[in-house]
Amino acid sequence: MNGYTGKILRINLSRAAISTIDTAAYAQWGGGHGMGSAIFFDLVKDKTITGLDPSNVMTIMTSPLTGTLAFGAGSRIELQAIGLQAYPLPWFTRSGIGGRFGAMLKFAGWDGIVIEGASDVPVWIDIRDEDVRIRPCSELSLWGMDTVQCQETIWAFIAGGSRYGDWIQPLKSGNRTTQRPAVLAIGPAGERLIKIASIIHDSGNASGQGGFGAIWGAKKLKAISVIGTGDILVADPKALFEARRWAISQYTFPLDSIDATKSMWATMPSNLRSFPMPLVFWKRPPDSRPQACFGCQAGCRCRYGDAIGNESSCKETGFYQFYKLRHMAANAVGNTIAFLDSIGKKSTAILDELYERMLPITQRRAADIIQRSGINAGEFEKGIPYLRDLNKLGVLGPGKDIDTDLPFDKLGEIEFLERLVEIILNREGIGEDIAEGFTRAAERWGRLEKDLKTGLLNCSYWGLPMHYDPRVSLEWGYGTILGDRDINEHCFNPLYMIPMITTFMGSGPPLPAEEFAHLYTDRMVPFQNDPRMVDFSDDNMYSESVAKLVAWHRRYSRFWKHSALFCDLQYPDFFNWAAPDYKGITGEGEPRFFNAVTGTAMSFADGIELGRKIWNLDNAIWVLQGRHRDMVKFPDYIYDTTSPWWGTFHCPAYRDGTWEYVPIGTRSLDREKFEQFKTLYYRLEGWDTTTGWPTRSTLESLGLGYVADELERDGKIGNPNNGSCEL
Amino acid sequence: MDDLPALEKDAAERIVREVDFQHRLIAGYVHERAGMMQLALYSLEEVFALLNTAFPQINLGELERWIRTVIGDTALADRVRETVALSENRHQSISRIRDLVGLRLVQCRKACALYTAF
Ligand code: SF4
Repeated sequence: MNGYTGKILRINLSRAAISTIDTAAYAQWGGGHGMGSAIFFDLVKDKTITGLDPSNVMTIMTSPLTGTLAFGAGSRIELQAIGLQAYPLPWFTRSGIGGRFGAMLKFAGWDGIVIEGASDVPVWIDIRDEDVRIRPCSELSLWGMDTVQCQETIWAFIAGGSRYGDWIQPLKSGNRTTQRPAVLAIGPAGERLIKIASIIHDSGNASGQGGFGAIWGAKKLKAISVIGTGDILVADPKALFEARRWAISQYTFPLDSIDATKSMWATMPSNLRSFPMPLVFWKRPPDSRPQACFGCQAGCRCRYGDAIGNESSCKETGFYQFYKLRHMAANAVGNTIAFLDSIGKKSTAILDELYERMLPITQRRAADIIQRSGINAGEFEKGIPYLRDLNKLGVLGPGKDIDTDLPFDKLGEIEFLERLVEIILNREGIGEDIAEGFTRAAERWGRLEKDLKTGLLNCSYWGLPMHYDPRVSLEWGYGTILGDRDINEHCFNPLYMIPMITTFMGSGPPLPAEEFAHLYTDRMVPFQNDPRMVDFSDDNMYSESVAKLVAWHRRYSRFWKHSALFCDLQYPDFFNWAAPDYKGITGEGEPRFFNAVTGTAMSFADGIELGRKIWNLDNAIWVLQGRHRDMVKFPDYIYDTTSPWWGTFHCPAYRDGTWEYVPIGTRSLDREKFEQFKTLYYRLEGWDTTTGWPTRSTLESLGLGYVADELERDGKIGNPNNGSCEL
Repeated sequence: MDDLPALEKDAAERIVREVDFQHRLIAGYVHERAGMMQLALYSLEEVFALLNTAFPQINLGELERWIRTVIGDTALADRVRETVALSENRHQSISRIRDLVGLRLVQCRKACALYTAF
């Protein structure tokens, strides 16, 4: 089994028992998410348990590519369990982490970890190659530490006082390594069962969605440390290396001759990232440098001379937007003054102070506060504006209906954030409510219905913060509401971001709309002959073509992204500015890397079909948890209010026989038509259109007859006669 | 740009004030990975900040109305309308309006002697 180590570590915390699962028993799932879902299905007999139940099983899986030089696929792990965050039902869900944990786990000889039960006392797991111990936290006083203190303490325990890069011998009789243990840890938020708690690795790799930090807290599991000194068997190392060189030469910009007009696009998600370019929302100080996950050529994170904000990227770096806003306003006014100065107007003496403030230390500190506490940045990104709006509305504040001493006059400063985190961690006042997540807090405050009607609470699917607007980014919104969490998959973003940005700038998109559409859809097997899959115009929002788009997206992601573990920031790469004809690596690249490592002959289409099987298994689990099509609805504001994207959101559209780019930024969804869309989608998947439950024939055709048996026992198998509908 | 009329302290204080919930201005910005950030803006300074993001999402007609009727700055509102009409694309509109609003904020801060507030 090339690419695999051959065994999965199984740990029962209730019994302090350590055993193994033979990877071969689950290899048909291709690694990562597929394996995790299959193991979860087998081990969790009652799928209706809550996330905090000791019977909840968490899987942490690698892929055959983890720890290898496969382009953009060497680092990731996939975590799965019944979560805590989604509303009204916290679904069986997933979250991924990059960094170096996955590679280190493989080097230690493990394809994944399965965690069952719950310990009576706080523990951590110490993995050194084959040697696995469950240790009490008390010996290192880990319980109560923040995520950074915890990791540093474990590093020191295992590596002593040596410096990074020195040789160490993790086991007395074992091999040596210059590496340090890779640690997953929870902070105080997880320990205190805060439902928006995350699991952190190194400084900024976070498993944010699902409230998995609190799942560990309930299991009294503080950390997992792994250090490995082994290696991974690659079927054809030469082919793997040549594939990497091919990807770099064909699909990335050469570092010595970067075309500035195009290279900015090379950092767009789902586009092979050409060169190290940190994805942070703050101005980088001069003493900083890019940092990458294991084996990645891109490096979308950053480390700083003062170590503040290290490795955080994306949302963690932008969630404290009020500071950014005020800070930017101050900068901008300062720049205006500088402009006035440059044209001979009178200067002022405040410029130095303004430029001092351009170093956004508050934002970097804000990122560190939530990473150390182990809190999900996405909840804060939308939750803090909600608190401010309620404060301005006059219902939240000192002596108000929702009584709190949060210092709104310090909003944007660290004091506000520290106080917010403090009241959540201590479950003090409204902190007790917010500890449940902002949607459940709104429910406790008696505001949920009205605030989801107006959109004041900007949680657009399953009570989770809006990321991309379902009224505009159809594949994102529909994929999320038909699934379990904010999908956070940027596969089709360039489809509307490139036209948006180029139209905004006045240059217009680089390709005619029809060619742009085909660049995507021609590779979307098995639906490749339907370019209208990417026609997001008003007339096509609920069509069978869009149902195919959603189905393809779920399948691609479930296998290539979540199981083979290709990084979302780089795959799928449909449109690539560095390639002469703009045709990215997707379709050819993924199987080329996969097969070089595994020695199999998997085609791109095989991967999509395996993704369909995994998606069906996941849906069956949600149905066993209690899902019915009647629950699959967006909140009222998505139907009743217009999306506020007045910029230049454009996308390819087919109208009156021709393709063109049309604006799509300001619209709402139609309830009835979305219901019809669901029917089309369920029919396409071979599921019962009245319930959304899978049918036996569909499951059996995928080799999931045993799943059908369990659904049938629960009275939740789809009726094959409900496969048609009146449209 | 520099023909916006000068301001007295009272007018300047009114223009830079934070408005209440009912008079907030809904807008947003987009980042190609972090996604869509919808925001309620409560002051002209926050409008200015938003206009400095890479891809501001704001209804420029509504902005003009808000500046005119909520903020009460007719001269600035007139210039916003004029700018939209004369610009060749949205990027140009946004950049020019950002500079106009920035200039107005500088004027206001000078009139209020508020520089130390930064
Ligand atoms: S692009 Fe960023 S997140 Fe993806 S593998 Fe590279 S460094 Fe990690």
